[in-house]
Amino acid sequence: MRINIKLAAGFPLSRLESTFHGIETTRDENNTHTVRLTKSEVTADRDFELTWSPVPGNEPHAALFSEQWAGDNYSLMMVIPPHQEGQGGALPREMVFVVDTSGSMHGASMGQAKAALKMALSRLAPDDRFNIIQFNSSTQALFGRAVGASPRNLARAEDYVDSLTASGGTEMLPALRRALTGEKELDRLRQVVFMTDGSVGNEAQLFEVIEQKLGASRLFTVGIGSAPNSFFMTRAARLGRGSFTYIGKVSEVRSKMKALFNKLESPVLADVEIDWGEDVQVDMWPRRIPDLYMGEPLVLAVKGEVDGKTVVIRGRSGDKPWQQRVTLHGGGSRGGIRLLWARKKIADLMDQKARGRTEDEVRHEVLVVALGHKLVSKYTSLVAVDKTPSRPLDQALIGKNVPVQLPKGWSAEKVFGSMPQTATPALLNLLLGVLAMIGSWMVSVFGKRNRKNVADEVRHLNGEMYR
Amino acid sequence: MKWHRYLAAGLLLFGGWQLSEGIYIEAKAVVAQMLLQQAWQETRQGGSQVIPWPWADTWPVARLKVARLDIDQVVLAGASGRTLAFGPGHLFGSAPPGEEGNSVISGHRDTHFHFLKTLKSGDLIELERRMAQ
Repeated sequence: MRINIKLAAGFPLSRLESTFHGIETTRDENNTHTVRLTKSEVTADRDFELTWSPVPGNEPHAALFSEQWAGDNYSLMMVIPPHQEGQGGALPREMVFVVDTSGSMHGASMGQAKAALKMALSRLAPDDRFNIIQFNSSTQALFGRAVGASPRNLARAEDYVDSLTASGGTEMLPALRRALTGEKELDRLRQVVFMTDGSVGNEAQLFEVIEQKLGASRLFTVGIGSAPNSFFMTRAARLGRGSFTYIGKVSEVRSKMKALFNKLESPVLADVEIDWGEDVQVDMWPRRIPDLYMGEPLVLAVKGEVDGKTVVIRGRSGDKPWQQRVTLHGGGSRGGIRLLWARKKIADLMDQKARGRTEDEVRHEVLVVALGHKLVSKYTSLVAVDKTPSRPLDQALIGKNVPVQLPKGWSAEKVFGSMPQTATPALLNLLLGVLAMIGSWMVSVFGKRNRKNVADEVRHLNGEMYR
Repeated sequence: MKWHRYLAAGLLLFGGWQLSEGIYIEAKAVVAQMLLQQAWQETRQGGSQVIPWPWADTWPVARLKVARLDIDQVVLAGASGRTLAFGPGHLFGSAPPGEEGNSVISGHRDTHFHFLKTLKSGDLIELERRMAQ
């Protein structure tokens, strides 16, 4: 596999790193970075992850890329709010940990969940409140309501975590309802951390509950085990206005949970809204802007004339209102932005189905976007028609499985099972048995003969003496 | 000269123990197959994961026949050492018998799969699988 990336971030970068591969980067005069692998070719056995962050500053970083298509202007805008005064202090939190203890979590998954829970408990501040809910066929909470994170309560929680065992079915609905139902307190940030492998079949129903009951709570899903239901958990987190964290093995628990908690503890920019000005008509996706955690950019795909406009971003930071004025500069023309816009719109429309819109309505709107931009969606597919057939019409198609690389760190033995030993010790047992029997017989015969010889000798000696 | 007697007795005990171990392994392999045929019949009649005896941790998944050598064996799920004592085992990671892909069935070369030695090219090996659901 070869990788060649042209990165136009839209603002100066302080850091550009690849997590798992060695890379070489060069920068040209337009602030475009070229990223290449150090090795010319690598095995495609793990993710390639490229991370970058802007040069920190007091001004908001804003980037804008545009594309003209079919008479319309499409833009991708990205704003990184600066860290400065005006941000309120972090609010005390109410944290609800929900842990899946169904049979499918048995074994390594349960170990990961326990380790993650303990890590989470250790990160609570004294003025935080918390509760632990476990669910399998039934739902059970440690405390009747969220309690303060006193040493005594924490000790009880630790014991409770130790006592968790995985068995039974996965009835997620009552647990989700319970976790999202809490006292309405505006002076507390309500965060629900949901740990599961997500082996459920009633996703649509669950999405509805999240949509209806979320309120001021935020839902963070933590996927556990080697094959969690990422579809469910990613989307649940999006509807829950939180994020999805995936923990694949026990050794990752520490780093992944730390990253999640750093995020949960950092000041949040919530209820973000954009004031486009009076005379500006825009079609913006996602419609509902997610909360922004420290260092996270606000990314929006917009249809409409926005280049050169000054917009006001309003939100609530901690306990104080926050606002920022940003002028959008054209960052150049790029292909593919309309597709990004269309994809975001389709994803948002699909989420609206969970919010109670009828399938017919949603389908109709998705079709307009998907067909217009030639995109694959739940209701549309691409059909390829070969204009120059290379296969004679009377021959059947040949299907073949293509070998693929195992992900790094996996062993074929663990995935497919190792080859068993195919010999029993039976033959050896029989042989040894027979030999030992023969040996035993020989020893006893030899012993008897020896005794006879001695007796003869004695008789002989006696004879000599008497003579 | 007492040590002769002790040695003889010791060897006799050891020999007896080894012989019974060896016979036990062979006998288990043969007797288990008889019990398994019953479980296989139930499986064919629509049962799934029919365990042949209450404490078994495996179940029949196929039946292996070589008519010329008079071989008729029930293949079990999984290929752990414990399973292979009772019959040939199908490796969990490989394709289910009769489906697309390579199925791997392994057996002990000195009990169930001893016949492989006398197998000739051209022999017909039949694999009977569970009824299609």
